[in-house]
Amino acid sequence: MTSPHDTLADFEDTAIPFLSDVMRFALSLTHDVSNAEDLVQDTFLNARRSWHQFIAGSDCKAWLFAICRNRFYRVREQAERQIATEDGDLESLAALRELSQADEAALGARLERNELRNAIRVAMYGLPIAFRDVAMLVDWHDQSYDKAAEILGIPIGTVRSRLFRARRLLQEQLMSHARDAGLSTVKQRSVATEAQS
Amino acid sequence: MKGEMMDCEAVLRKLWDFLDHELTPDRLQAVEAHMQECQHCMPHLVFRDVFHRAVVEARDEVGDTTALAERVRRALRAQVPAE
Repeated sequence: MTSPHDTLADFEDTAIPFLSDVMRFALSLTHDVSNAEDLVQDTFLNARRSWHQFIAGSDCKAWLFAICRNRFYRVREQAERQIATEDGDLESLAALRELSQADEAALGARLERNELRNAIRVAMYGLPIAFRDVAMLVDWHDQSYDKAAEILGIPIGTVRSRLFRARRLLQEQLMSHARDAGLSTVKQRSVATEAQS
Repeated sequence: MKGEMMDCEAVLRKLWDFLDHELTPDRLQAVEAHMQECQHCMPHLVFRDVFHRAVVEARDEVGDTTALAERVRRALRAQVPAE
C-alpha cells in the first residue's frame, strides 16, 4: 500500500521547490550548465527512489544537497590530495598574525570595489575538495555548520576546522592576487627585512 | 549571571563563528562586549566581514529553471508508474 508521503505528487510538492537551489549547488560542483542540469535531473530521480527514507518535516534542501553531492562524486572519480590534518586552528591563527592590518586594509578596499569576483571564484574552485565542499555549502549555499556536517557526513568540529582553513587559503590566494596588483605591502616588507639583515 | 570574559586570542578564534551566526548567546554576548572595547580585534572583524561578503557575492547564480523543472518532472513520470 502506498502512503500519501510516498506519492509522486507529494515528492514534487516537497522537493521541486528546491530545484533552483539544487541547480545552483550542482553548478558550483560541475562549473558547467549542461552538466549541472544533468546532475540535477539525476539528483531528483535518485531522490524520488529514496523518497521513502526522507523524514517528513526534516530539511529537504539539505537532503537533496547530500544526494546531489554524492551523485556528483560517485560519477566523477578525481584524485585530490587528502587533508593532512583537521586541526587547523593553531596554524590558521599563526597565518592570521602574518597578515598585517595594512595588508588587510589594502585587500579590504579592493574587495569592497568588488573587482575580485573572478579571483574569488578561481580560488574557491581551486581549493582541495574537502575544504571547497564546506566553504561552498556555508558561504554559497547558506547552510549552517550542522547542516553542512549532515550533508557531508562529517562531525561539526571538522566542518568548523575545514571552513577555517578554506577561508585562510582563500585569503592567501586573494593576498597573492592583491600583491600581483601592487596592493599589498607584504612583498615590500619582506624585501626591506632582507635588506636590513 | 556574570558574562564570559574573552581575551583577544579567544575572540579571534571565534570570529568566523560570530560572522556565521554560530555562537551560543553567551559567547555572542562575550564577543560583542570585547569588540566594543578592543581596537586590536575590530579591524580583524571588519576585514573578515568584508572578505566574507565578497566571497558570498561571488557565488553562482542560476537563471530561470522553469524548463529544467519541467524536464525533471517528465523524467520523474517516466521513472515512476502513474499513481
